[in-house]
Amino acid sequence: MDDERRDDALSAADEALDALRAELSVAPSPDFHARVRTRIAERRPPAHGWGWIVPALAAAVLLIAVIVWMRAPLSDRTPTAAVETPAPLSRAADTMPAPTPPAEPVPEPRRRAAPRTASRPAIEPIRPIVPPGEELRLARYVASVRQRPFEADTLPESDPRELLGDPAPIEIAPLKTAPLVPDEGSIR
Amino acid sequence: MASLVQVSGDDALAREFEERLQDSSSLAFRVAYGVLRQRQDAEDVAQEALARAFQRRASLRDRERFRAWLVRITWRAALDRRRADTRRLRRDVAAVADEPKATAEDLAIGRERRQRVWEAVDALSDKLRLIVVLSAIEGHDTREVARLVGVSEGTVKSRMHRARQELARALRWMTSEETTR
Repeated sequence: MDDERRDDALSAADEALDALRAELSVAPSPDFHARVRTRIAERRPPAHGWGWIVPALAAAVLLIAVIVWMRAPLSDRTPTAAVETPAPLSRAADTMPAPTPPAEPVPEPRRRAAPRTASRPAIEPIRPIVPPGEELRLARYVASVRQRPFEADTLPESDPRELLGDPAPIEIAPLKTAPLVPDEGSIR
Repeated sequence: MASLVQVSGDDALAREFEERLQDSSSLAFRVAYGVLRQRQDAEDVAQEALARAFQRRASLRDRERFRAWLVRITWRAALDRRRADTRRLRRDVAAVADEPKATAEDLAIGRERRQRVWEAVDALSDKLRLIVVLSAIEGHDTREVARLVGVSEGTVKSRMHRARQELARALRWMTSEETTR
């Protein structure tokens, strides 16, 4: 009984498959291919569209960058030169061959606002008032102090005057006084 | 010279695609129809799949590869369309009820029976249903189905056997439901 039912069901399944075969013997409409071609054509990008815009923009940006670079002052073009700072006085003092004023300012690199600074008066370098012949000693002293912190314990016990030598005599010209001659029209 | 080569290469690809279009459009349409059972929807899905195939025409020059790719894409697109379309069931009912004239197949099977067959097919899993639909398309033997799906012939036979059993079970259940009413 069950076998019969199963056979009936399987034959029904086969009939269903035959029916499915008949259902799927459909064909697309006659304009199917034309519609596919239309769909493809709609998606195809235009041959002479905006393809040139990217290289043109890149060229324009490059040109602007070159113009800006050319118009910038030399100091801005070579920023490393502006970053350079004058060597510390201590290093300079080590190899100092001749007496040079330690506080002499190094000229600053030119800035973009050059016309404004040009109108200002030039600042004279500050020079310490040192007796002639003492400039070298002063420079050495300043350099040694800058190289290491000042410590009173490390000061030489001997008389520093021996190291420094005799100070040069200061010659002061004698004052000359002249007696006042009263004018005739003076107030009494 | 290079552009001429390029143009001639494109022309060759376009010619090849035109051949594939003539050769495989019915396949794509029938696969979609096997899922959607709506002519308009099936054509739309098949056209979309073929348009996508055109974009990949350079990598799909081999006929078998092209057809297998087309079946896969069409099948998935049809399933997506069907899942997304919540009004499909209502349209189906209306379409069956409003059919103006019966085809020869409708007369032979009968409308109710036709609906039952489709319901039984729909009850199959996607894996089995694809095998059933491809096998039901004219001219497809086990070897062709195996090529299109990318499995062995033994797998196709095995799945077809399981599908037949499940169809039988579903149809028997439907028949018993009708007799108890």
